Amino acid sequence: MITNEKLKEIAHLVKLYVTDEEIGSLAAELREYLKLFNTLTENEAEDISTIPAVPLDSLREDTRLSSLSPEVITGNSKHREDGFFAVEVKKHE
Amino acid sequence: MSRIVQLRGMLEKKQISCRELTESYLERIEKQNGRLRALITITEEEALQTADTVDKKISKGEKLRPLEGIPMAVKDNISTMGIETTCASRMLSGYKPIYDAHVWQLLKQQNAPLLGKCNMDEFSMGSTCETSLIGGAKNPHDTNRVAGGSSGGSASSVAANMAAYSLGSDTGGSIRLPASFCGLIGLKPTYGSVSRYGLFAYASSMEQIGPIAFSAEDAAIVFDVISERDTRDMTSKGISEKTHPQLGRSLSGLRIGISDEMLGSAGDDVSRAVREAADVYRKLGAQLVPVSFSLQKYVLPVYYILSFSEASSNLGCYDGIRFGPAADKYDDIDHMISLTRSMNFGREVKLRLLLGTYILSSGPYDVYYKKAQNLRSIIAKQIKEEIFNHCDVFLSPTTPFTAFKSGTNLSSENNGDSYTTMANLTGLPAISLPCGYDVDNMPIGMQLIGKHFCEAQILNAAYMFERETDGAFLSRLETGYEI
Amino acid sequence: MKWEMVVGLETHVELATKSKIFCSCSTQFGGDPNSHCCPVCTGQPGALPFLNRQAVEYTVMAGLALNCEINRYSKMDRKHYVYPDLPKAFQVSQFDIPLCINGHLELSGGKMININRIQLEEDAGKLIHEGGKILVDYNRAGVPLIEIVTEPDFRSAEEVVEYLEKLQGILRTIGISDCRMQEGSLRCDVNISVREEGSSQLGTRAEIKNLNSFSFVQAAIEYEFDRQTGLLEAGKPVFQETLSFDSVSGKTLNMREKEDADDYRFFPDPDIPAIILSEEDIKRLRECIPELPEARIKRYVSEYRLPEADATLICKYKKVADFFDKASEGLKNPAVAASFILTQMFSKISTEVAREQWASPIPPEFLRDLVLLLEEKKINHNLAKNIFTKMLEEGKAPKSILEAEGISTDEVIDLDELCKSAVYTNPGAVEDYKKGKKKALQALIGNVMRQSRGRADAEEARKILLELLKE
Repeated sequence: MITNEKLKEIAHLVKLYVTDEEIGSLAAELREYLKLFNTLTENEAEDISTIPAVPLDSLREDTRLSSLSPEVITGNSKHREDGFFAVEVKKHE
Repeated sequence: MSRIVQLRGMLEKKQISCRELTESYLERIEKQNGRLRALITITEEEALQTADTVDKKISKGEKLRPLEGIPMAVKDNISTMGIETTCASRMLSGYKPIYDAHVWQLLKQQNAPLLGKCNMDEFSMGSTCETSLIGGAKNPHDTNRVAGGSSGGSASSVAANMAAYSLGSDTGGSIRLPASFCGLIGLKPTYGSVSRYGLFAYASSMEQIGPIAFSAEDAAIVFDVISERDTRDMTSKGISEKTHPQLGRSLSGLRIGISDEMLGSAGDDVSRAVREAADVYRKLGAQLVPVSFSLQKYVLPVYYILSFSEASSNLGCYDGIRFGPAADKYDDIDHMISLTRSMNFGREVKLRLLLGTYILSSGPYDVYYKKAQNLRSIIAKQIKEEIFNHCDVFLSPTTPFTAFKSGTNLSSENNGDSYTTMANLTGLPAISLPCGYDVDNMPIGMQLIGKHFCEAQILNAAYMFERETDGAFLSRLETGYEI
Repeated sequence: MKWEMVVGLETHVELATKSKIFCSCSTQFGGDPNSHCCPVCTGQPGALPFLNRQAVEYTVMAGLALNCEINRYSKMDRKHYVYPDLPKAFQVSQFDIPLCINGHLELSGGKMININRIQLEEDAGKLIHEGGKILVDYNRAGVPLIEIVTEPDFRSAEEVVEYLEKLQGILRTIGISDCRMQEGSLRCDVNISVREEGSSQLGTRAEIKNLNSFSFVQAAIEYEFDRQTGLLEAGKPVFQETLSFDSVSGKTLNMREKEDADDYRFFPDPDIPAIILSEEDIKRLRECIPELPEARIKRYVSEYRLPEADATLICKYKKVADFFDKASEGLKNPAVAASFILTQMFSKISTEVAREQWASPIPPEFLRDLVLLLEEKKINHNLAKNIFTKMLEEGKAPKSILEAEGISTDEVIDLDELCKSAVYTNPGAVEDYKKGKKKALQALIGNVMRQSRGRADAEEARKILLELLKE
């Protein structure tokens, strides 16, 4: 089982805030999943895992193509200025 | 039994204009979508504009391409430039993609009128559609029940005749389960046959975009269009031959594997319907081969471990800086990012992000992730040896049950994924097709899994079943524009 | 207590590919903010990476030039951390199976610096802090980088600087990067710890980042060594921290709080298949590697008899060395050509950038022709210098310049005759010299020079005149 402490560390890594209350409400499901995960640990099989691989010539040719304009690139952001993404370091309304 | 072929015939014979056809779909959407919540965004203008283009072509006597003018809908995790794409999450409210997904480009090239973006579980995380920001899509067969997930809206829209076909995505069963619940065909193609460029990623190594359609022939037509090669996706190869021309081939000699254990673990109605379907196949000349799969118990844990880890990584780009509703009050950038994510992600997403991050963290990585990766390879090897060395396709129920009532809580072990996920872990193609009804008249779906890149074979098996049963199990709800 | 420093380097080098590592956006330096961007390099949802073959090939070439083993099977991994310049909240890099491992670079004196690995990865965007805001520009995001990690083999700041200079020379020679620290195409992080001389234990190390010149690298290392030894001598502990170098004060300063060692959660990138390199690939890339600076310097010293310092300077710039090779073809004494390059040409082409580009006003053949004239004693050094100046100004061949001046080189200079003539026609000067006015000799030499239109060798003339004057 993951302690609340540990869960908060994990949350910090993935940039989420979880209150003790939320942890409480998620606890049952977390337990269930971990129980399920732990069934793997009984398996002692030899490592045969592979990652699909490709040869060098299937990689991309080094050519430059035109890019999208800064207006389009920043189009979905609330924070933009002169083509930059511009985020205020602090915001207190 | 192909809705697409029939509609195209009507357009070509000028029995109806594309605009009229599209308007009829839009009318049904207006009447039903409020209740069914199949579509998150309705793109009326876009659809009618495309319809007008098609009508011009028809008036010039130009021949129509396979999907030209056939109104359709696309799951809301597929990138449609300029059209809001949200993954049913607050995190992407108002997000208008700056590029088109490969599959959407292909359909746009064929002037496919886009009726709207389909409702789904938030970021594809779920099997009921109920983790959606706007609430789950309802099952048109019984609106007290779920359409299934995560491509619930894709299935609901087609079953309610609000779209002639739709695109969904499948990471652990997300096309097949809702198709099964709604009495439709759902195809999860071989991993690598359809480009994922433009699919907002959940679990990159498992998911594929595929059609949800009224019949096997429709699914084949759509698959043939969307499986065109795309080099932008390094994991995709496309397919070499079209499936549609291969429909109608005799099933004589086809070896169909069937697992008593799997059938036994499903509900009574479901296992009965699948056994009856097996009999139909026998009549068609197929050979039923008993098989069993010894590593079934590891499939779900491996699936969760790997998919949650990939998800925790893939959802890192949502930080409110380049897109997404960012927090308004914060003390520093880290705070802004964490607040934005915490405010905008739903509960199920947070749960999976936490678990996925935990699995990848040092310590758990070796215990869970590495083991799961290894087991994934072992499972693939065993499936080949225990199943596909003995048969050409593997038959099972799609899920152990039929559509359940909205609001039902499912456990992680029993949420309907148990039969579908093995196809995602191995990359094998899998199709769900309707094969019966339960006591409550809810559709029952069976699943055919084929060998890599053998979509033609499973599509044909589905097609021949439909023909043999006169389409008795195809979803035919009285909803207006009847065929 | 005698202390020694233990230093390891992590050097990031921007590869000079035309397009980024995972997309076809331009890698060109500069440009309006976010004008070299696309869905892939700005982390838009659904975008996928498509690996640039040239980036992989350049990495392998770096590995071959640095004596590495090349992993025939290599993969890309995701390294997770959150910072506004990282659009996907992970950097694609290489964790356990990088392209190149176990190489080395030899310093003068024979010491080997062992290279642990060379990995291919992507660069992040740029952040500007201004007016209470962070401005983010993703033009640089996705530019391919290689990270070259050494073992902690350095024992002095001089060794580090020498390594960096040699590394720069090698990578520029093979053409994979322009390696300019000031422009950020070569970045260096220093890991430094201190221990008692003779000990085999490693001390706590500090990391110094954001050093952007070789002289700052040297100064930072020296300062940090003193700082750490100072602490240890006072019985205080050295903390593991990340430091920056303030060039104004000459001190290293803490950059951030001691971090919980970031858990990067490395795992193989599921969107990028692993790479398989064939023997053919390796062979072909090996053949793309030209003569490296070390070998070239040795050749210049042994075959051309150049002083090592001159050879090193010429070899610092591949184009200069190529120019020199051509200018030396068929010469008895290439060192002469070298000196023309290092004096007059270098004073005209004076910046680092200009020397790298080497837009020489004359082709190397012209320099060669000039030196041949010297070797054939058809002109003397003084005249050669003047002619060379004009050659550089006008871009013309030596013969053209000489013609324009009305000087023919065909006439053979009979120095004996000219000297006898000088003596014969200047009795006054001869008198003066014999009376003790040594300066009068100059007048006679001058006469010889005039007669020969400046072509005679003044030194030789002096010798002959002295002989004649003895009579």
